[in-house]
Amino acid sequence: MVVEPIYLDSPKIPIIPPALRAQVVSYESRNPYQSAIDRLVSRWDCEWFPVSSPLKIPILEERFREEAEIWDRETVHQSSTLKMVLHPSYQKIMAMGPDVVPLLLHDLQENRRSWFWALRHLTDANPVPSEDQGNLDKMIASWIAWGKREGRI
Amino acid sequence: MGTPAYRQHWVARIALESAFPNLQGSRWEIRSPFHRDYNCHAWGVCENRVRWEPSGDDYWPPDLRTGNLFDDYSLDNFTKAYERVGFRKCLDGSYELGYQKIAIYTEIIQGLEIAQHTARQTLFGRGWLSKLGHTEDIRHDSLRDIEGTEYGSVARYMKRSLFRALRDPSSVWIRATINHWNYRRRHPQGI
Repeated sequence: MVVEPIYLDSPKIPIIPPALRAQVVSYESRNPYQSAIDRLVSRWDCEWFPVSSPLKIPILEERFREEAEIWDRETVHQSSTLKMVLHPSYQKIMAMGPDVVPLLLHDLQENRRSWFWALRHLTDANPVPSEDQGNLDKMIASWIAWGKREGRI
Repeated sequence: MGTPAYRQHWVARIALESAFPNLQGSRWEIRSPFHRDYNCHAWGVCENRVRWEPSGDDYWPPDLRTGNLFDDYSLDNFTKAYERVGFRKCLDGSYELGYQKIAIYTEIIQGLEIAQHTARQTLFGRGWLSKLGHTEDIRHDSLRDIEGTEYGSVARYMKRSLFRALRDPSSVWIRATINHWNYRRRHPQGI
């Protein structure tokens, strides 16, 4: 009798009836390099497409809102941008990377919170003309116009 | 100009007294709504339409260093900025007829003396005016009232003549004063 092998397509081990276990050719033994290749692809995927899945977007938004609230509450009496950007929540938002830019622009428009420093560093852009510096209305308008122009909002 | 936010008087008092414990038991009053459009350094030079700060995003006098978060927040850089609008160093915060005085608060961060806040003396020397971050302006009797973990302590006093204060951004100075009188007329209890 010829035993038909069962090839596993995934490193996850499925529930296999005891009678068929002798036929199983494991995922690793089928291709000894497969696991290494999978790990590499997975790492590249994380590095190149940090928000590749639409499922990650609500998580980012939720995390952003949470950290933004903490930051606003704890720095509301600060006048100095220095202390505001050194706050751990601001640093966490910066670490979210360029994907957070649309959220920053939206929050800037809605709550007028000062995200200019983060926007400037995350986008390498500064659309505010020097004569408008310090004028919150004009600074927000410049950034919103930039966001629309660049397709970020 | 963005819309100011009005907080309940007791809410604002509790929040500010918890952030600045020296205000507890001291005489102080709220003088404006909660507003993000200007900061304490701007309010120090009677400006309430723009933010003054060497952050690289806000207004800072031309040809002065800006954009470097640590070095440009030095007391010397702030002193030079205030010198551009007529202030010069002075010894203390006592009232002098015909002069407008400011006090610069600093804090030591990573070995550098960093400017954190500016308070301005009232016209007749009956206390000091401070814009507390994004929140309200207050008038407080003593400079010690807002010293502490938020702003550090007073490191420098500067003064300019009232004629100079009226000349250099005179229209803004008058507008800011009228706005505040109007605000106080409409909100006699503060907020």
